[in-house]
Amino acid sequence: MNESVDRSLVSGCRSFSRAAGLIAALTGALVLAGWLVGSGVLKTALPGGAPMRANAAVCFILCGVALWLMGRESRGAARRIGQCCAVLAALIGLATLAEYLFGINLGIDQLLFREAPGPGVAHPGRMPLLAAVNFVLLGCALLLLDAETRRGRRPAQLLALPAGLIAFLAAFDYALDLEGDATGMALHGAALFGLLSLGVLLARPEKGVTAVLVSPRVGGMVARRLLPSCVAALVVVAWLRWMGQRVGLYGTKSGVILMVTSAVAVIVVLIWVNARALDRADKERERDGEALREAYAYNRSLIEASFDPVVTIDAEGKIGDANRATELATGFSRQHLVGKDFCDYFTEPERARAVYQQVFETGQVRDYELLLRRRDGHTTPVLYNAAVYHDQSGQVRGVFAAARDTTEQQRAAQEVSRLNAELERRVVERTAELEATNKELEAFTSSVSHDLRAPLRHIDGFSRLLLEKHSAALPVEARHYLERVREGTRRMGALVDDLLDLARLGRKELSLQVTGLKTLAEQARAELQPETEGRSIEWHIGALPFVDCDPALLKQVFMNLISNAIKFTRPRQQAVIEIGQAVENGRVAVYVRDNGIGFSMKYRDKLFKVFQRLHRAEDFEGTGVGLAAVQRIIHKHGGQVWAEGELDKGATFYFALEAGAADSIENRAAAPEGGAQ
Amino acid sequence: MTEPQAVEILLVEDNLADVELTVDVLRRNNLANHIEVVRDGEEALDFLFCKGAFKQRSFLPPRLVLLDLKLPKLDGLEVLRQIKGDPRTKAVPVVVMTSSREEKDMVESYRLGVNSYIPKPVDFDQFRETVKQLGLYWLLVNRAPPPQAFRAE
Repeated sequence: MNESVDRSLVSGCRSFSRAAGLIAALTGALVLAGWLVGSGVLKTALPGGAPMRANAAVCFILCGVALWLMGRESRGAARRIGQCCAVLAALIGLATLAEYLFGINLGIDQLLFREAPGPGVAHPGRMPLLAAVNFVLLGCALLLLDAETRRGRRPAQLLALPAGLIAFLAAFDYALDLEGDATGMALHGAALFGLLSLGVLLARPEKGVTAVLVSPRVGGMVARRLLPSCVAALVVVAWLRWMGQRVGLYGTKSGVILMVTSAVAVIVVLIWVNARALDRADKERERDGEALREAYAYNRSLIEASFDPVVTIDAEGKIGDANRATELATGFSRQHLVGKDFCDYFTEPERARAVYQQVFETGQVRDYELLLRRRDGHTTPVLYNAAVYHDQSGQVRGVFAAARDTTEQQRAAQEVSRLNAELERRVVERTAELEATNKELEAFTSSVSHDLRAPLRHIDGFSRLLLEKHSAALPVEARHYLERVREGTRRMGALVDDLLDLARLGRKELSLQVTGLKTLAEQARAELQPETEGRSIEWHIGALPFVDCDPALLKQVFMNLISNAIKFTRPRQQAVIEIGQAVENGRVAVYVRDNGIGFSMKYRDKLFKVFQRLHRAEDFEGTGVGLAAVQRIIHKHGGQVWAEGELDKGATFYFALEAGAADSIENRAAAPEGGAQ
Repeated sequence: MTEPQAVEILLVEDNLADVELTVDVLRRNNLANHIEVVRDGEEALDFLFCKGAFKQRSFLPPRLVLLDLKLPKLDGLEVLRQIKGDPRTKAVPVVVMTSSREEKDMVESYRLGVNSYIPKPVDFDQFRETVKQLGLYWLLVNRAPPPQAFRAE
């Protein structure tokens, strides 16, 4: 706590001070009323006691009003009225004092009310001498309430202290025998003087000699405890001594001895009790201090434990604090760093300056990239995160900035890009290898195409020439053998051709366009017309979808499937070939169905394999490439091909193109597209 | 070779069997009166442009060049490129006869300006028929380019 005064105590004191003023004024007014109506109780407060004179009552009203008005550091009219009241009270006091000192009568004593002269009343209506002194003191004190000497003293308080002592004197007199002979003051007069003196003393408690009373520190505590308790103890001891002597318990000498002894005992106890309380308070303070130190050490250890260089920066960019990580990152000690320009430790000072300026403007900054420069020239890439921090009242005190070392991340990022580059290089390499392999394969096919066919033609050609030119010279068997040779070469030629076609399919790029499959099927049938010479075939070509496909290849599919259907229905008197579409497993499939010799389902897996044939060559010619080509084309389109059949009952070949194409099949399936034939 | 009459067919073919079969067909159909056979691309160009072994030959273009594609030294496509690239020989009809069925050969040949492209059938009957047809067409049906067509511009 930084405060030099206890605020609640101060406001309590001020309230007391104003209340004292109010009570004094009201009591004075009551006494005046007593004079007005002739009430003895109001005048004396104590039967048989000295009365409060009317002038004194007026002075109490004046002082009370002044204290009440100036209790607050009021200005303007209230303050001026208060000061007038104070001056008036002091003047009345001074005039009465003059009467006493110079033995004159200024005619003020009986000005308001007349007092009958009586025994013990030297000057009727005149207030006692000490009362006059007190009004002079208090009037001056109130007039000077806010005056202060150069050394910080308050004259008002210095004047109020003797006034208070006089009041104490009178009050103590009453306490001993209730007669008040010594001062001639009324009982309530003594009490009001005490109140007013205290009120003036405490009107400005934080200033002058009373400042220590409202201090929150040990001194204030001692003053607040010891002052009232010591005064009270001494009063009680003295009173007891007096009473004891009055009733004859002891004589004057014993009384003095007893009083001093008990006073010593009481004061010793009081001091001991207070000292113990102080000691406790001090211990508590020490504990608080220890806790504070521990809290500080804890906070500090957290900052020091951070791997991130952490600093605080003030508005001028000077480093306020730095942790161990900062020392490592910069190569400078904290002692060196504190007070230095934050920007000096980066490769780009201007950008570093921009960081904390931005923080002061916007309150924070995140992931700001900078290069920390160490003393030896080594640099560390960092991401700065910074925000302003505040004091207890919420004022911005500076910037708290933490740097995250991103060396590892950058290294990892570099590694990733290196690996990517490596991967790319490998892909390029592999692609080149693949291209080379493709080239080789092409060269191979080309050479198969050329080199394998040429000798076949020669074998065929020369055996033919032999048959033609030298037929007569050859035996029948030789001629038969030569026919076999020629058959073999023709077959070999067909195989080579089909194989080349198949290989070419593999290399060919698809050129997709939306195509009506019915048109393709019709074209294929027309081109195969020569194969149906002399046959009776019933054709049913239903509605077929439009699909996205390579038309040349799909036509080849129809050619192969239809050609197969024509071939394998040859034993039938009436062949039936049906082309249409059907929904199979949720997809639209196109099928070619015949009532030919069919096949056994146990060989269905072999149907689409290259050179796989389910029939003898002398029954049905062919190379075993047709269905393999169909499969390759459909697979190239992302579709599927399959077959159903039964031996001697017929076969159905299905194909479905990829999912997207199947959708379009479904969509177009409803569209009318020519009738069955 | 101081023949007054020009060579009618220049057969560029490295394979002796093919030469024999081709010449046999042409002979039978009386189409082979003046056949010159060369066995590789370089020899073909020497003949056409009267170079090397044919330095003494007077420049007379043949009625027809039958060109195989797969040839030693210079291949058929290169020979074709030079024939069609030279104004003196550009007008000479060139028929490619090849065992190759590679599409890219066909595409390249047509790009270079071949007059006909014929794959040699494996079947001898078909082969015979093809050779006969093309001999008849180019030597009898077709009118040979006039001499002005061979003039260098």
